[in-house]
Amino acid sequence: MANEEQRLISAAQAGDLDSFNQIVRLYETRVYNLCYRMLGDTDAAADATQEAFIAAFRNLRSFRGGVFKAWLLRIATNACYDALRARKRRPAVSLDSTDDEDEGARTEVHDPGESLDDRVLRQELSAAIQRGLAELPEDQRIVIILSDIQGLAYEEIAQITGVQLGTVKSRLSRARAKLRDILRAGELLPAKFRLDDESDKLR
Amino acid sequence: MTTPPAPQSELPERDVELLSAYIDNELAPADRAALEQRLALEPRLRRELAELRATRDLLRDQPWVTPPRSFTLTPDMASPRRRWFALPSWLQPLSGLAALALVMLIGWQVLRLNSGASPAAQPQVMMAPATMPATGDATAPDSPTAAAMAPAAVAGANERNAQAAEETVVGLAVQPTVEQESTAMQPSQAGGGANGIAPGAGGDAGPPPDVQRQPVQPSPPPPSPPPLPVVIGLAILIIIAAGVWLARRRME
Repeated sequence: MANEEQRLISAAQAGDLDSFNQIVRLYETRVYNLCYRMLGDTDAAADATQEAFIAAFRNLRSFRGGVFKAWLLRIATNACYDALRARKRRPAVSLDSTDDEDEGARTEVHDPGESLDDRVLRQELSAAIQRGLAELPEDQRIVIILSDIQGLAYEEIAQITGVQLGTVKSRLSRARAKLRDILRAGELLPAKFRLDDESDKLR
Repeated sequence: MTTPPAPQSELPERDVELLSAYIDNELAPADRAALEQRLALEPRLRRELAELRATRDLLRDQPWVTPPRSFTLTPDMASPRRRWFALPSWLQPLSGLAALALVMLIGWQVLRLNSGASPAAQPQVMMAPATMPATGDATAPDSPTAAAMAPAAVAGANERNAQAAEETVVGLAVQPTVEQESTAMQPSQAGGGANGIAPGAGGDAGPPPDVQRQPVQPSPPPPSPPPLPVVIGLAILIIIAAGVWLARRRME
């Protein structure tokens, strides 16, 4: 897999667009999800994803080894920051305006055994989490997305965001605490996630 | 979004950071052992850990969103960005040099304007207040000597002006008596220039010796300002460059 990826990268660096498009297919879901969680809007996420892949192809020669995923996600992160800056200059779309249509736009595979109540609960929770993410500062939001949604290690997150490991740890802890506070205060957590003192136990 | 105010964590930020890293198994062994000891003793810490872990698990369980389309590149997308205003690559370093030359030219013009106004005019302005009170104190108010002295002192060179001002202050502080006047005359005779002003109360003081010896030099004529067409041309160039830069930014 790694060798195949390296071969594709080398071919793409030589200008082979088909090889690069194979790389795109490998990473487009990950990149799109990063952009969607950062921007909270399907259209903006699609635009940022496309921009990221275009920028990656144009700058592919500057990639000189290392972890390609981190390199690509760094470009995607920058594309998201660009989109957020543009949004601040022309505030036509709010992060909060995304919930209803974006929930409908998702094409998740549903569990056929899932009850209607469970499905509604899951969708409510998903919307609540996206709203909570939107309330986080951008530097904390990117770290918690990379860590807890994308499942990346601290070192990879430090590479992608260009900050020290200690900064990643502190931003992540602050983001988790803040998101927990937001979900708890707004009673956005389903009952089974609302912990009380009696249910404390060391997991 | 109408979320009520969120309750803040009851724990210090450092503890939250430790718990967060503990969840991810990113603590050093010693820190981990110390934290586990505290967890066994502190229910508040345990509650915080459970909530943070639940939050992390909720995020981790979020299903991934399916992209609405493919993001593979077409040859059009992959081609280098076309710019409607692009210099040939060999000209790009020259454009930087041209910008530098423009800045230097403007800076030179500004310096010329500034330096042209100051040297002749400033000493006159500075000298007048320092000299006139001195003559007023040391001589009779209606003495013609004072009026005669001031222009002579004004015409002196910079270093003499500074020396005159300094010694005038000394003369004022001393409150001249007849004896002191005679002693005060000595440095004035040695120093010359405006030094003679304070002791001029003797009534027979003419212009100081060196002032008498050296004719007053007329100040040099101020340099002519830069020609108006040059300034206008530069302004137009800058406006055009700024417009092109803005247009390019919008296109990108």
